[in-house]
Amino acid sequence: MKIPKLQLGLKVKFVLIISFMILFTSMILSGFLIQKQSNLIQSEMEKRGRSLVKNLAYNSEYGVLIENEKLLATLIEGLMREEDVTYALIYNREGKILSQMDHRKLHIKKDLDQEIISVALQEEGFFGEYHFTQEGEYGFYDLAYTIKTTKVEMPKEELGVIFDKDMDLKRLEKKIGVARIGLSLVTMRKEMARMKSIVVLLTALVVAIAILLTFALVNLIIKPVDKLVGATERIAKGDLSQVVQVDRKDEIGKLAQAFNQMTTSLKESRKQIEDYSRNLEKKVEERTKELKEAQALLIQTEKMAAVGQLAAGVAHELNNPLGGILGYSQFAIEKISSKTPQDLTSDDVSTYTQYLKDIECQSQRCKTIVQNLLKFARASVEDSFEPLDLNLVVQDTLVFTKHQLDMAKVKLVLELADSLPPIMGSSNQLQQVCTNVILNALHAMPQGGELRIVTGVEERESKKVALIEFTDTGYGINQENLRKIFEPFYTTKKPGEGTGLGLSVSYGIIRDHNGEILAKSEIGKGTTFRVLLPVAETQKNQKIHDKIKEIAVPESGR
Amino acid sequence: MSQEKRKLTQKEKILIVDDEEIMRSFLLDVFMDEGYDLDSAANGEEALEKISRNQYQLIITDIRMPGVDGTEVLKKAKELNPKTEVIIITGYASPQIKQECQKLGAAYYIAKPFQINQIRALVNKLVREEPV
Repeated sequence: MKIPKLQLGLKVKFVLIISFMILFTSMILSGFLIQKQSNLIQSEMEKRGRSLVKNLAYNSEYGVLIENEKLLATLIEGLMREEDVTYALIYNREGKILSQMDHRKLHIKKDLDQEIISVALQEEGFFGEYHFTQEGEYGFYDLAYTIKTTKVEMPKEELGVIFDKDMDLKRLEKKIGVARIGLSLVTMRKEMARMKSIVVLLTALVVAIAILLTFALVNLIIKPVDKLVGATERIAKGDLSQVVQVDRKDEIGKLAQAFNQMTTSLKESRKQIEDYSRNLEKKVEERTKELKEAQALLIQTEKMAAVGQLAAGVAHELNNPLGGILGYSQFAIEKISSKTPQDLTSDDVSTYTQYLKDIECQSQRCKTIVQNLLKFARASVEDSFEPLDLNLVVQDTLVFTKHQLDMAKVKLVLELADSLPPIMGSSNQLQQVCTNVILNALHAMPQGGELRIVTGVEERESKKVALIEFTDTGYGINQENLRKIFEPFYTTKKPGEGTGLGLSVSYGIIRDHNGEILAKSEIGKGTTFRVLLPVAETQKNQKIHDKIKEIAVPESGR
Repeated sequence: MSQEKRKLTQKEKILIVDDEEIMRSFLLDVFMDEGYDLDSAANGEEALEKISRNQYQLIITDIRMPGVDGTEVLKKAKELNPKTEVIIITGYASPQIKQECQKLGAAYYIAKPFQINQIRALVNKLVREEPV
């Protein structure tokens, strides 16, 4: 399933983006804070260093004046009690160390001493710099201050002299030495590290809380979206009965509401579509029925038209023998009635016998024609499928059409297969097809020609089919028209001369027989129609053969 | 019946045209008895050939025949000799053809099968001007 993966992605994306933003902001803020705090701590330390060295310088004034090393050592000792004071030194004006103490036994560089001392003696104020020893990672803050005095330099015994109150002390001020201390940076560094870890810890805490909050917030948005996704999936599967339960008034709630509305209207339209297709099915059914009825009517109409067209041929066919019968019987009656039995010669008898034989022969002819007509009519009524021999179908068709072929000076070439496997079909309908195709061929050969009718069997898509092939030597049909010849009402004849239904009805009949009717043509050479009909199943063939014989024998007395 | 009236010296010539053998033989039998000089043709071409070579008082012809049909025989006969009478006999023909034949000058138009007396009376009337 792809949708949950996508949903997880969305959640992770939200959390990642927001977390990153929080982390980034926190880092910048904490970095800034650490910087600020560090500066503060450092300046505090420097301030403290100054105040310590300044105090030392004031307190050493008297000690330096009298060069009392003991006194100065006491001062330094007191100062060294401070935890971070690493060393303390007091120099006289000449740069000689009057007193010193060094906790860590650091070897303070002498040249550096000289430099600081000379500067401190020349000018007034603080002189400090940072030193980082090679041994330890912590360095020192080295700070010096000038020791000044307003007391006039005098012999030690005169020190008790008191000066006037308004005497300018500043003018009397003199630089007499330098106080110097080294402050260890360990404390400062430790403080800074502590401060840093607090800041980092706080930042981490804030970030963690923010990420947790983000999770909660994202869940707040994603959960209802999850529900919507679930509902969408169910709808995609076709279940429209589900409603998304999101009791919220915000955008998500509105989305869920809109979604539910959409589902409802979807359900309605589906119902409409279902109703519609049900109606459509019914309509299609009705239309199909109507179409079938119309088609049946069309076939009937065409049948009637075909019968009408053939009526002339049948009438001609029947009236000729009837004319002979009527004529000869009347003639014979006349002759016999003009004579008495005694007048009858053997010549007369043979003449009358000949008349009677002619009458008999013509009566037989009439009988055959009538039988065929009856067969045609009966088949028209029944129209049921029965085993058929296509050779017989062709021969029966020719009974009605032979005369028309003769009339049109069309030479008939019959190449009927010796024996054909039976096919299932309606003799009447297939005769109608043959008649249509033959008449079509006739119309294509107004100057006469040749119609070749061939029957046979062939394999088609590994199935046996029986076929009738009609080849004429007529005008031919061009490719464009060849496609249309099986369309209803397509005709090249003048209005009133042809219905344009013959071949379309034939097409319908052959289709009903699960067969095929194909046409190929070459302009100026002629047209070939092929009627292909599936051979009845083999196991039934023998039975069918027998039945055909049974049917054919009494009726094929021609 | 009319044998005594027959003038043996100048027999009236009749041509019978039909593709149906039974009709030809019947008409030949009937009019042989009447004493006419008879000729027959089994199709239109044969008929045209015969009328171009012989003079016939009467031609009895079928309409529907393969190739040259009865109307053409009628047309040709009337063209060669307007006095030649033509009787059309037919198994079946549309009213249009009947009208066309009348226009072309056919004397009678008879449907098969016809009564023997009917054709005999019409022929005798046309050729020998006997009352029907």
